[in-house]
Amino acid sequence: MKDQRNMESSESQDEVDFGFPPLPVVDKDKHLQCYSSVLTRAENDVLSMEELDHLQPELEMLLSAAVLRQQNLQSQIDVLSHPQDDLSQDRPWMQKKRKLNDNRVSKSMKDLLKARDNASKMSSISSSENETDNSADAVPEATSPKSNTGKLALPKNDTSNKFWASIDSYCSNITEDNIKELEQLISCCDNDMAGVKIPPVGRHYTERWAEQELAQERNLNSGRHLSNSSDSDTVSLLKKASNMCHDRSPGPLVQRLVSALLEEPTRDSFPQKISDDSENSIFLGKIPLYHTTACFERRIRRELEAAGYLDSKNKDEDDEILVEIKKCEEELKAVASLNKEHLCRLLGQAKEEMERQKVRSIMREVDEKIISIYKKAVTPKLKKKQLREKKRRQAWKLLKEREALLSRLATL
Amino acid sequence: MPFTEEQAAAQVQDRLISIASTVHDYETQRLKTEQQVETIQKAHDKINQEGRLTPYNQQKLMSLYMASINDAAAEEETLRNMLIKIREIREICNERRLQVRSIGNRESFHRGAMMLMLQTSAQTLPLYVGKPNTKPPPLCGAIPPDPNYIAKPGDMVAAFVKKTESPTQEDNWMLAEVVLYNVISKKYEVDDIDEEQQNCRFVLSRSRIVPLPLMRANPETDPDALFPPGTLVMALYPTTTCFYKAIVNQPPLSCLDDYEVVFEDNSCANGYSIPYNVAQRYGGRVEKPKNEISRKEYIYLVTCEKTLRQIKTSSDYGELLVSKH
Repeated sequence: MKDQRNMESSESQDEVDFGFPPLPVVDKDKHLQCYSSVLTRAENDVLSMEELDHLQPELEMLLSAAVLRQQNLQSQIDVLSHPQDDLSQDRPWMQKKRKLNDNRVSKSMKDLLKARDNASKMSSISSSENETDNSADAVPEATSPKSNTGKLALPKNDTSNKFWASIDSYCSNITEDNIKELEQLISCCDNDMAGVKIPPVGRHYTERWAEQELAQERNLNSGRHLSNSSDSDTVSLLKKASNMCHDRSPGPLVQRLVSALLEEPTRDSFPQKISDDSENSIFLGKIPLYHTTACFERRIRRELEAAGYLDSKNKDEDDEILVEIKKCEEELKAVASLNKEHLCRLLGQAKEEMERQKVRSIMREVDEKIISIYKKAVTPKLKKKQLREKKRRQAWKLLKEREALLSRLATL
Repeated sequence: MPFTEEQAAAQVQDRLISIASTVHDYETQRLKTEQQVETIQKAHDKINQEGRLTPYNQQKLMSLYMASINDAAAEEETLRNMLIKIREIREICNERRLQVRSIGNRESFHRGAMMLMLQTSAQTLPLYVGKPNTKPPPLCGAIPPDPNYIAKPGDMVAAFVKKTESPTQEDNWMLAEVVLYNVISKKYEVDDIDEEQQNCRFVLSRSRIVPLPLMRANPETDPDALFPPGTLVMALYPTTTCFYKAIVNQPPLSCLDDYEVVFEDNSCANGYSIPYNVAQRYGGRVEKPKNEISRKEYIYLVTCEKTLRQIKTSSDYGELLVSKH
């Protein structure tokens, strides 16, 4: 009887409840009689005082409706622009509606079911993503219905479900899959620790780098007077480099070896002959043909090492890239060994936990049995009947079993 | 500045004409609003049928809402202006009345006319429609006045008159009008509203005066400024000019409604009168039920308890109310 306002919006919602606000409008025919009568007269007609008394409440009604409309629309705008937040407490008409309409309750129940469906879907998706068995959904399952039924009218409130779904993978039971995964990770670590096989330096690097090094050296030496003509400089350097390769000037090791094999040339026994160019070229021509001096150098080193003349340890002639690779390898090995250590510890713990889980599951079964026996025992007690001896013994046995399991758990 | 009778009449006349013309102007605004609301409602229905809110629809709704809010704000301003004018008219009339009275001419009504006048004055008490996030001012609805508040001459108050002073020979809270407040003696001079009584001028201390609300509270925008159900109040008993203890059964639901109250009544079996149904006031000029209580005639529970010692706790009343329904 007090419904003066046109509450169409709240009544016509039969499909889905979006909670649109009622937009109060004053019905002119019903409630604005004096207002209408004023309208029918000329604009400059004077109102009577009695008319004024009637007009005032009508205007007040219009004002109230206008203000209420503004408020409702503003809060609806807020809701639309922040759809994630649950602003139902900011929407007074929602609460009113729930109070007024009984069938709203069934609607909100539907919403509730929908929300719960979504939540369970979501949790299953997330758990399949994490590749974990969702047999351990016990935690979210137990909490979500409680929180939902507690607040009946909050269909949007699935934050708790989201939270539990995200946390689930961290506190669920350990499965065989987890252990397999751990073992896989450990074998990965082993691979890392085995280290990387470094192949010998290829032709490209031996040739090109040697040329570049030589060029650099030359550059340093001749840089003082040839610094301005860089283009011709590189060309000439390259030429010289190729010449160097061609005339196969021996590396330091070769020179040392050769000089060691030769008798110490004194001024007397060796006249200017040795220093002769032709002599020298004949001598060097006998050195086996390797594609570069560097290769030859390496070969000599290997031979010397095999023979035991050279200590294999002082190989400080590695180029900087190899040094860097080796450094990285060392680091990798260190990290891998640390990882392996952690993973092994984790694996051990996981296996222990598996054992505990087994015991716990047995215990749960025992618990259930005990509870069922208790339930059976309570009903006759109410009727003041004695418990049968067989049952009693069974109960004791179960209790003892449980105790044993508990102590086993403690020792594990 | 006091007006002469002609000036006052001219002032009132001006405002009456301006109100009438504003009403005509306002009609276009109102029609536009009606249309707009219809459009929005159609959009709502459509979305409800589709069962989902697409981004396009959301955008559309937002723009509709914004337009509607702007128009409603314009509407609000027009309406407020009109209501301010109406208030000014009433103030002019009241001033004029006080002036006449100070000269010594007392308007005399017969009892029925006086009751009617009380009703209209209660109905036409301005309605406070709060803007969002504003608190209703003191003396609006159930909001108590400032402790140091002094009622102005011409304001309605509830005045406690003792047996010895009273013409009816009993302690009474009666409806009275302030004549003046003496700052030195800190006492009010009030007139009993019921002028048929012989001795109608009283000099009373401040503690025995409770100012009545100056504005009505709007249940739709400021429900907090109303007495909640179960509150023990003093209410003007129907067809009398005296206040009696009563319990709020139901506060008004719209700005046109009154409170629904039950009075303490020893002649009834449970000690309380039946709760009175309140008819809509402007449903068609129905003869007012004799027990209808106007909101204006309410005074505050706290003050009552201070003066009248034998009041039960409100929870007792609450229980009684519950058992009755």
